[in-house]
Amino acid sequence: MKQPEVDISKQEIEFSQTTEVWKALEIETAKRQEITARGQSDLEIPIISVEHVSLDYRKEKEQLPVLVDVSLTAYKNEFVTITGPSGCGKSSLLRIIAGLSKPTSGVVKFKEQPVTKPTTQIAMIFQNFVLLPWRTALENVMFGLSSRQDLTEEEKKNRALKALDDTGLSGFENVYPGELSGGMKQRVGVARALALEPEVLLMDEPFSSLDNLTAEHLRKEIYSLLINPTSPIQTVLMVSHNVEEIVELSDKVVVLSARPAHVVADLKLDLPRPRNKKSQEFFQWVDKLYSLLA
Amino acid sequence: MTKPNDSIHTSSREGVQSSEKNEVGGNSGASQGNNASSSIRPPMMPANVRAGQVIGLVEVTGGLGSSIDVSKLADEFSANIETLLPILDTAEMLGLVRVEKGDVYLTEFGSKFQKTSRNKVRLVKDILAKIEPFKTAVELCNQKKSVSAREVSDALLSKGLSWHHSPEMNEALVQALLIHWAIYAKLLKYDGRTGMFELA
Repeated sequence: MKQPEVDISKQEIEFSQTTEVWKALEIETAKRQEITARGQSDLEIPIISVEHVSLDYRKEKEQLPVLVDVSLTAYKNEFVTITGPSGCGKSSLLRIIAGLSKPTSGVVKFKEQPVTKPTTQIAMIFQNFVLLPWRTALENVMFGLSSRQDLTEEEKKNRALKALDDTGLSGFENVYPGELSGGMKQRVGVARALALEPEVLLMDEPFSSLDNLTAEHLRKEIYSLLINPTSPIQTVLMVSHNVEEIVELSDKVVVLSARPAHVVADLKLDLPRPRNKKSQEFFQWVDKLYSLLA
Repeated sequence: MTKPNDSIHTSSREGVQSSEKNEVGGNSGASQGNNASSSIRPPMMPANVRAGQVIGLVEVTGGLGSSIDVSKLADEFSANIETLLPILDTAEMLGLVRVEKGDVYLTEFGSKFQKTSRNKVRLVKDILAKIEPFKTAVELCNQKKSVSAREVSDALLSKGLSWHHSPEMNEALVQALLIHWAIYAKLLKYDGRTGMFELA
């Protein structure tokens, strides 16, 4: 009986095509797995990463080390506080993160891109407000938007008005800094930062120039602004030496040593929110931080 | 300490008690002048007390759930009597707290104030309008479109009311009070470029 003729070539072609299909499927699966893995790691990419940053100050021929091999990360929705003894270089570190200063070595990254100069994605609030005394509150907030060439004057004004309203200063647009209380001046500083709609907010001892009662109130207000779902801010880095304030506000605390500063502790605060300042757990964290700082 | 109650105190005796306490702080003292009579006079806001300080006080007191001893409050905020007592006076004047035997209690209104998340000071707008220098400022703004702090200060002096013996210092204190309270409460609006206040 004659065997039916089999078109080997066709079978081979079909087989090879099938193989190609399988290969294509394998490649596709691998790609999908890679995309999935990358998608997951997107959530784990730090918003800010400080990588082995060192800072030396040069005075004539002398080199004064200030920061030594400092590394830290801040992820999405994290409130990170940097603390340490007075004069250890906390504010210098914050200025490097803001792109206002360059480190001697190491790098700061914003979403994995090196920060080499100031960017509108990273805004800063200063301890001493740093308002222009010859400009009104509105003009000070609009001044912060002067680098935004993509916005019209009308858009800048509307953003500034909204930022002032968000910080409780509606009605104070035409008041000069010299006429404002300390708390109000800091609110203008906050509004100036918020008007940029930054993803990262840096705060350099924002409440230390205020009396304790005003600071208590402003702390709560600013925190609620930052965690508002409509806020563009994803990460906050604060410098503070007020231990109770640190435990009240922070998700993570990075403790620096005395100068030349290095990281002595990087702690995650596992306290529930809102923080109960009278709880045993709160006291324990305050005690722990004091021990590290002492 | 003035008689505790939930309404603003309007008696001149209470106003004098308040002013005597403020004079401990020196320049922040308010006086009702030599022409003060025993008739009821509107209360005077202590000078140099900021809205943020009163809000902070209310939030701390409310956060504790019950009362707090004044001395403990002072310890908690490293505040001395000179700083704390005018803030307590102001909070009492606005009906936010009452003080009994050295303990500070939140009133029902104070509790509502504490729980309000935004624009808290607007809740005390009506009470502020009855307290000097805001009362006179509003009266003048009703008569003329806009007024300066100097005009308000002069009008108060003619009623025998002042915060400082120096007219210049008195004007500065009146200006600060109007800016730090009346604008927050949406009682008045202010333009720093002209230095004039108008009704909000």
